[in-house]
Amino acid sequence: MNATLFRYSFKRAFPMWFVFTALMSVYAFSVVRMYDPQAGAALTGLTEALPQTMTVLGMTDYDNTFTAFIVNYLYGMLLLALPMLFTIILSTQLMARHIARGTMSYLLASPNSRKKIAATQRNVLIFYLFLMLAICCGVTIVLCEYFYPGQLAVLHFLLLTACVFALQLAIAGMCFYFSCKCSGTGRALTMSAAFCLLFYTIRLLANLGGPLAYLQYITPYTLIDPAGILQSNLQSCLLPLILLAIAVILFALAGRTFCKRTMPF
Amino acid sequence: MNSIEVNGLTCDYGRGRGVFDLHFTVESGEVFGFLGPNASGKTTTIRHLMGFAKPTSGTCQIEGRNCFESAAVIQETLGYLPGDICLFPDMNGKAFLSFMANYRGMKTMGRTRELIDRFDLDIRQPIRRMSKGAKQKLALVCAFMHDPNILILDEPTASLDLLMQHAFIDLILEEKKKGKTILMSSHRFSEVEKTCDRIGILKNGRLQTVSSLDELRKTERRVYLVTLENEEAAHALQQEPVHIIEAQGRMLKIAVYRDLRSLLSILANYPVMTLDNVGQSLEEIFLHYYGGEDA
Repeated sequence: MNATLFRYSFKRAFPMWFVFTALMSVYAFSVVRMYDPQAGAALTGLTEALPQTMTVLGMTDYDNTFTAFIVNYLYGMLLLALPMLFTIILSTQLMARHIARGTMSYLLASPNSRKKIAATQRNVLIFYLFLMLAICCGVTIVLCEYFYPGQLAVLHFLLLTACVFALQLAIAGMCFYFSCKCSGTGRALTMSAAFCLLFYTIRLLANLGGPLAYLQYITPYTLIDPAGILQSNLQSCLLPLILLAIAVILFALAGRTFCKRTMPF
Repeated sequence: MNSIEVNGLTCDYGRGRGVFDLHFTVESGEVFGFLGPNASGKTTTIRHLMGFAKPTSGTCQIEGRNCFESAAVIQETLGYLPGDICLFPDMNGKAFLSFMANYRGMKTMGRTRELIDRFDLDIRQPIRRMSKGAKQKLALVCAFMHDPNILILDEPTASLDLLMQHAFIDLILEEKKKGKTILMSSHRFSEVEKTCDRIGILKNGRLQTVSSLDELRKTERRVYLVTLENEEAAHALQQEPVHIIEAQGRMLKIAVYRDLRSLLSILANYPVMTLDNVGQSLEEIFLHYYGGEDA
């Protein structure tokens, strides 16, 4: 890793990271404030009235606890979608933009190998994702402890956040691969966004159940099972390791692609 | 010892674009000029030397190392000036130079300051607001600041004014004295003529000729303007075995390829009034290689 390049990329991406993290923290705050033991009952009522809608949104009611409520709202949708969007944009900025603009020629015309450059930019992406989820997770825990002391199953919540991080890493690996492979910013952005959206939509369709249930086997989102993790189900806790493996493979593939490719400038 | 070695380099972009079967070497301490019209493959060759592109076939080596595989090692002692100047637009000149210095792991900035003074560069200006010339100067400083042993410069004076072109030529001559190996592409003959030891002429992706400047000058043809006493004599002279380029009344333009003596012996029999050397610049030799399908 090259420290100078890391600092440069880190500084450039900071404003965007800050906006995303702030948005997610505000959302976490509103979710925690929304909790109301009576509302929990109302939510159960809503789930009974509109079972399909709630399932499609990934907001299944596992059981009427505080932790389930928080997890449901937090990791049901927005805290999966926002980091995904952040990953798509940042990964494109880190590699594809330098390649398309030709600024990569200055990065390559130095004693730093391609492998080192790719590793540095990859580390920026991973570091920001980690920081983003860690801060959101921290904010949520602090808020929960402040407003409803002792009600959050902190350990389970941390474990689930770690699993969501593994999922984001797998997505980041894919986006980073496209960023290393494509010669145009637009193309890298389109490819990353298309695949992310595809997997996300497949998840929604698979959640519908019925004849489309088999779709769950082609989206990485299936490897995260919040209900199972909250119930300390061993299989649910181990499945995210596959996501980690996918992330490692995709990042390695991205680095290799970048090392072997011909530059357009 | 050969510093740069290109062996059978081929990179086909289709439709006749690219470079085909290039062979040339640049010796250590030599300044090599790479000439050719637009789209003749100069930049493509340089991209291969820099390790940006992988050759379809053939090899390029710098100091005995493969340019693609060992790019990072080669780059330690190499300075590069891209033909397309794409600097980081969000920085100013100073930030860019210190970023590049730190990124390269440079220890001292003395040389950088000297170069900035030399090219009279305002480094406080944001890069996106710099003129083309200022960007070119910044890129030049960036190529020379780590005092590299080998320099690869792609059209180094493309947007420089006359004064800065001279400053650049002086810099090249100084570096040459220090024993640096320099490969530069250009389509400006004057700077090549002043700085280069040998010249490679590229056309349509193929190397037309590699020769020293002296050799090129030897193939130079000289043109003489002969003025005779009357038109009859001029007509008679046209029948002799000489290469007439132009005939106008009593005046004849005659081309000579190194063999002046035979012309003189023929002229001795004619009423010659004046004999002027029209001369020919090196530029015309290049045009001979550039233009026409026969070349």
